[in-house]
Amino acid sequence: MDDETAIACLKQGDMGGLQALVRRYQGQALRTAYLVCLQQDLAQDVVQDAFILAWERIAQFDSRRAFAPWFMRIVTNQALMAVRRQQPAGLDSVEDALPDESPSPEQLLEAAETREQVRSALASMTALQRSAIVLRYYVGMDQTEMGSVLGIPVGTVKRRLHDARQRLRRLLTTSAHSSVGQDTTRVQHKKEPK
Amino acid sequence: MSTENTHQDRIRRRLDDCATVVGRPNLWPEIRRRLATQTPGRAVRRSFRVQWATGVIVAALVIGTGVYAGSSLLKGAYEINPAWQRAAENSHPVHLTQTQDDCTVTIEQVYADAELVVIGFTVQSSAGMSVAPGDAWLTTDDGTVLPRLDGGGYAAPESRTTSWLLSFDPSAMAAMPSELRARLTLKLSGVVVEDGAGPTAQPMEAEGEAQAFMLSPIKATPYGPFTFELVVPVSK
Repeated sequence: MDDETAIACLKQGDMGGLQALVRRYQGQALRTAYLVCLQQDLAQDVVQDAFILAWERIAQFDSRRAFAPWFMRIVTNQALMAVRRQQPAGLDSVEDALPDESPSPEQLLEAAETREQVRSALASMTALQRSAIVLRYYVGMDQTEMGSVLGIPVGTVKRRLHDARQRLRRLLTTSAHSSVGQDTTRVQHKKEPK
Repeated sequence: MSTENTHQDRIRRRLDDCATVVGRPNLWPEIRRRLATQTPGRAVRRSFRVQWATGVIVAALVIGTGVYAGSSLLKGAYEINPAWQRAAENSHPVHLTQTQDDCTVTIEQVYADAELVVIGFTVQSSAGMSVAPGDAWLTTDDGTVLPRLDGGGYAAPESRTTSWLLSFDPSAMAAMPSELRARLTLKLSGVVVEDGAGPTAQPMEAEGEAQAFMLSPIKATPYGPFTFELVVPVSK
């Protein structure tokens, strides 16, 4: 069943349509939710909530448009709300900017050697900063679309993206240095018996 | 591909790799269970919300064991929703029957008080348990259409009879009479079980030997409407 048929079925109250959409999009939705909230169980709850919301709001969906961006908007918003419920207020404050002579965050993200490096960097960011990175680089939205998803002006999107890039730049730089230091320590331990 | 797109693609792959820890769980059974048990504004154990939309339904059906007469099947249906317990104990027998095509509907029992009207009926057809209620209206003799609340069904395996309960909210009436006079208009839909699975597949919350699962109107065949004139004493 293609998306168009599934959505038509869903609009008729047919759960078979929803099942088809769950099968097709649950993977992408789970990964998107995880990148924002960084908790597997929470990501599953978020995606379940998102599909149920899609079921309830499908009448509002314009069938001439693609389903995925509309649904990923729901997923991202649900993930942000879930993180906010868990975190005290004030964690979304803007981080200090770093000097621009360091490598770009995109270069650092590309160069990050381990999954854990990327995850640690994301974990040290605020949920809003993560959502900006995820929407821009993972979901592939432009800044206008991001503004629509997050319900904020494009100027605010640019600032959040800038904040996120700066934060990511600093974190990945720190992570890379830390990783080199740990490797050096292990080498020294191996040499001790001699 | 431009340099910028190449960079974006590489970053996307990094993020995708980071997110692979979530694996590939199947969320559908839990989503379906949650939809089946959704009762906004109503705290009801093992209950569900019937989706009444454009003549098709999503309802829960409890599959019991053994062979039952209609009234026995209704006992199983009453257990679905604790709010229906007072109806189970105080319903009035009716026994009104209509047959259309290969489908026979019998109104077995009706209960009414100032807060709740519950109508218990059985459906017998060659399609067996794959026939379930669709749209239903309960209109009082003064023309008030009572809002629908919940619904649920009970069936015995290998039986061609299913029992169903529909509940309505009588608070829309200006004053509750001592005797409810109302017309039930009922449409049925032939539905198929999700994935063509048997009654043991993807069970909802269930106890004992009974199991509940969702009926999904993938291919809905309409039956009816069936119309019944009901006269029932109102319980205090």
